Amino acid sequence: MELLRCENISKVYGTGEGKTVALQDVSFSVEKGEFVSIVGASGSGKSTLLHIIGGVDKPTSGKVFINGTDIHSQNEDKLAIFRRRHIGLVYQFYNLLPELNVDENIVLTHMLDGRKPDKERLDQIVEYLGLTDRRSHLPSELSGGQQQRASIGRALFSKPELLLADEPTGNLDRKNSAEIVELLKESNRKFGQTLILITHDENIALQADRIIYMEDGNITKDDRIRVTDLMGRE
Amino acid sequence: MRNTKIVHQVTLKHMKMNMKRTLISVIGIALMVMLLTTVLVGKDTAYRYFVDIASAKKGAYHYAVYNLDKEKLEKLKDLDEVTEIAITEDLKYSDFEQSAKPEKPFINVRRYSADAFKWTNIKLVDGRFPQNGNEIVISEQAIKDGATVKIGDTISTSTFRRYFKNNNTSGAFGIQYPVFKVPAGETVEAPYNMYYFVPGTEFGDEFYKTGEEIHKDTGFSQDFTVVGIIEVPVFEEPICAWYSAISFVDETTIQSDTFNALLMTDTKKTDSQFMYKIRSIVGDDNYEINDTLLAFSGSSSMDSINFIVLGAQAFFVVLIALISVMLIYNIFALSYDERAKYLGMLSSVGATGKQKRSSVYFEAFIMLLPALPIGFALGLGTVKIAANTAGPMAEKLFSFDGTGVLNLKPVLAVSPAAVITVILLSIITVFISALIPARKISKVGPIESIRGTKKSGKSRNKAKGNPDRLIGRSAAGMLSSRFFKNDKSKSLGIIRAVAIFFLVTVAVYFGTSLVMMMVDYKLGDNGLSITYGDDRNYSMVVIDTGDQMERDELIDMIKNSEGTSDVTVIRFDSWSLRLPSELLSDEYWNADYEIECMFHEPGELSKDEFIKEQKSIDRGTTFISVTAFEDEVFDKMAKEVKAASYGEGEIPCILIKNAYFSTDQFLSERPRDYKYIEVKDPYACNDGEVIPLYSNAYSRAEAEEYGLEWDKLPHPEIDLDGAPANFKVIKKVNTDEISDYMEGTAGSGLNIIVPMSVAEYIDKINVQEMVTGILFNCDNEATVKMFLDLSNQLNDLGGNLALNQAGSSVAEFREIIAYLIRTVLIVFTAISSAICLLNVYSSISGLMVSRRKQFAVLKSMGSTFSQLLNTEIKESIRMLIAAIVIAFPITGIICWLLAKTFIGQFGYFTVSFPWLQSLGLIIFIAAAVLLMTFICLRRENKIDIIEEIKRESV
Ligand SMILES: Nc1ncnc2c1ncn2[C@@H]1O[C@H](COP(=O)(O)OP(=O)(O)O)[C@@H](O)[C@H]1O
Ligand SMILES: [Mg+2]
Repeated sequence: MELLRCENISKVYGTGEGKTVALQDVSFSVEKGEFVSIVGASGSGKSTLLHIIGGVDKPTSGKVFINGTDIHSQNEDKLAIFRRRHIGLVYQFYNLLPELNVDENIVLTHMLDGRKPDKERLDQIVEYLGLTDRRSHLPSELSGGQQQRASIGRALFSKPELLLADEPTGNLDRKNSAEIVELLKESNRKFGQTLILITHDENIALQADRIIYMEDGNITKDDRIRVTDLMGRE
Repeated sequence: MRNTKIVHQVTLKHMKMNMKRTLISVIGIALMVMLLTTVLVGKDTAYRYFVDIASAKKGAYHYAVYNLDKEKLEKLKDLDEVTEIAITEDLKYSDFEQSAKPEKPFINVRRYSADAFKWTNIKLVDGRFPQNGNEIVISEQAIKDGATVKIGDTISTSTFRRYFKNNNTSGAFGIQYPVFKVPAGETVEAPYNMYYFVPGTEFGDEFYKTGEEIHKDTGFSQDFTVVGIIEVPVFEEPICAWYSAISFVDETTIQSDTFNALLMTDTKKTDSQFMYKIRSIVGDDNYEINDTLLAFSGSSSMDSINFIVLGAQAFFVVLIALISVMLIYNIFALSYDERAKYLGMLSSVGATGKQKRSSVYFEAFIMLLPALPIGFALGLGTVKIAANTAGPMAEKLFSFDGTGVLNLKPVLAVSPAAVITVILLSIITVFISALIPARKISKVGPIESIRGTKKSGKSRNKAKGNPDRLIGRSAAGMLSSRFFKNDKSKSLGIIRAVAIFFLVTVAVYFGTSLVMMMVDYKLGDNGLSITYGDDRNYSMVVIDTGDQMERDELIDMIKNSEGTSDVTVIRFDSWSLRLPSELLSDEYWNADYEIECMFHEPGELSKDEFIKEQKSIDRGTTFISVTAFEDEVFDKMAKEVKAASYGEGEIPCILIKNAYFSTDQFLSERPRDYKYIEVKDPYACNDGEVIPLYSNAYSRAEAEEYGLEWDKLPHPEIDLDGAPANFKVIKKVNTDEISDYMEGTAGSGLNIIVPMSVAEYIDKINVQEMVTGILFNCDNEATVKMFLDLSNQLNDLGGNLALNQAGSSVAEFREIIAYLIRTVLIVFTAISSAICLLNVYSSISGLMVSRRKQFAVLKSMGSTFSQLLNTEIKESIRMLIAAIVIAFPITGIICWLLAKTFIGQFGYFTVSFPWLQSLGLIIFIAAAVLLMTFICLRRENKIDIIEEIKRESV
């Protein structure tokens, strides 16, 4: 079943001389439960695409459907509400709120939706993320890996259907990177959450069901990983 | 050195990038400079203007002394305090053949020494001043009127004094202006401004039927050469029968037996004793003090005004500096993060702590550069506008002496001292504000720029993480609480700004209302006045109607005359009745005692003895004044103040409670210091009580005791012979409660109000009747003329009454002063509040800018604008509450200190904390903060969230 469909998405920054075409007529769709990684050189438009899918940026033209909803046709508030219910975002620089501790950062999206956080689920997630003894710490008191785990916790807490991660391991060492990817993969597999992950790391990309290659705002290649590879890794 | 230059260049760039904040800072500093300029130049300008007016009105001298002889002059010269003496001689009048105006047939020949020309503001229109006794200058008015005289001409003079003779056998000859009365058959010397009756005119012929003008030679005669034409001197009033002509005199050429002198004194040396010294030389009536000029020239004997002004000035300057330090400091503190980034970067390439510090001072200096001239110009503009609007009004204050309006324009008095003070104070203030930020910033290391790890440290608070606690709270609630607690430095900035706004506004309001009150009291000594009927345009004040007409007849006549309306009658009298001294409260006696103490050395006067003695004065009673309104009016007033009822046989009265004692009430001596003590209730009796009041007439026993012959004393119609009349106190009121009838305070004088019928009874038990005021409107000129003639006629027949047109100038005087002061205070409060509000705005704006990233993250996670607003409003409310909780007690303490200082200096009066105004202010500041939060947040909301998210860590 199709969860996401992008139709002819273009994104142009600026006008005239200084015009930059970040995305050019990009179309693709993603099935529910799929794990897609996007790779490409720096400046190829990966982040732009992810932000447009996540509803935090608007395309210059084209449409994004999630569960059949044309997300950019909604007004700002509706879109915000859509975001917090259906999308989980993980950034390279964590983007935790420095004033909130780990627990509070994790439950924030949920609470923004006006829902009471389930304490058991919070305990579960914190344990799952390995942050049990860091729950009341502020982001500034955490290592990079811990911060990123907290930000994943935040993205996972409301169980969104679509997880979007923009180079989540870009700032982390190998060991931490592996752990983070493992966490994301697990949520994809265990909870059936669809995962789109931008990465530079070939090894990480290869763990996905499918790799989208980007170059100068275009999709140049859309590879389904061969089953044999999957078998080999399993 | 080079390195420092780079630091400064980067600083400049940083300022440009943050243009808005830089602008707010510049505006803030400019406002500060403007306020300082306004306060300093404003005071100088006002003083200069007052001095100018005083000089123009009276002259630029300190004292004038009259009727001197050479011996007295020597004595005056020997006085240590006298620095300069100028001599003037009035040689009286001489015929002026060249005059072209029949009503001005004379010249007034005077002789001045060189300084006297200067100090009395004699100004040349043409030619020069006389340099010897043969030369003379003449008033321009003569030329204007067509007199055939010019520079170079010779005028012959032979002077005389003017007398008027009344050849009538009965009936005085009298005019109202100038006030001049010649009884039948007598000859009286004319005042200087007495006009001349021209024979052949209607008035003249009428006058010469029974009167004549007689001249008596002074013995002085001389020919003068005209060497100059002068502007019309102030003493040459249009109605005068002469033109001014002034020649030259010096000490050696003084001719007349008596002459006058003008003195300049060293204002630092003169004290209250100086007046006595002058008096002892020239006699009691032969001197005049140019008090306005002295007061504004900083005479130490006039220190009451100067103390208030200097005190107020110091208060304002300190306040302005404080507010400004807060504003500028806050702005620096708020931009710490950004500054830390670029300075940390510079630090990583080798900038030293000193260089980093210098960047802050440099920025302060750069902001001061445009702010100084702009603020100064704005300040001058403010003073100029204020002077131009208030000037004419201020001049009115000095116009009550009848010399007319001068149309003097206030001139900006920009003294080098004021300019230097403004510049120095501004620089000091700005650099003090930059001190702490500079020290902090010099500690920024390279790490901060790279990782921005600043805000850990203080905000560690492990208790905040209990997971149970966040359940059941809203996202906005949680966020606002965490923002508030974990972003202390920014919250503190806003809390500080709001607290300062509150504190400054309330303190300024309170402080200025103290000054107002003081000025009100000082000016308010014009006592109790009747407001009822003051909208009527005429009043007939009758002390005595004479034998030919009864009071009621007169009232009826006025009522029934053509064109009169709204006729109302009031009666009043001072000292009509006497109140037993025991009925006065302790508060009254204590106040009396404390004021009396100001005229004695401390500890010299025993309280018990003083009070005992006071109580025994005046037959053991104290005089009480009576005001009466028509019975219906009295009943209406009684009803309005919810007075007790009174029965058929009872004599009702309303007592006026508000009173005060002040050292100003005793003019004969000089007190150690000014003191004012409010008396809230001078009476030791209660509403509904019956009190005995005594008539003014002596009883047989009293007459005997005081050695008076009872038979020869005048007797009242109803002679109580020492027995009291019993009055029922139906209410004790403050004049504020009956402002439609009476206002003000009679100082330590006691006052009661009674209905008209009681006034008639009081008339009967006293020897003298109370004064009657008949107030009415009249739009018929013939009727007014008739009343005028009638009153003149009755006066001739032994009566004593006067018809007046409405428009009392005393009330106006107070109103103008009060208006001027209020304007100054309102403007000051407004501007200082504006600076504080600017501070609040810049803090909120700075907070919102620093939260950009957080807002972006929240939005990307699905927060709507209303949720953000909700969060920020909740946070603002927390900060508001914190600010008020902090500011309120501090404000209270400051107000208390202000009141204490003030009361210590000037005496007791009731001051209450402005609760209502404070509440209004809290509502205002809350609304302002919420509105600013909304505006700033909406501005931040428009910013592209992607850009923010892409940026490195929060
Ligand atoms: N706000 C912007 N203004 C102009 N150009 C931009 C903006 N954001 C991104 N770009 C440009 O769009 C292109 C794609 O950027 P991005 O999506 O961030 O690439 P990637 O994530 O693949 O490195 C780049 O050339 C970048 O310079
Ligand atoms: Mg990118």
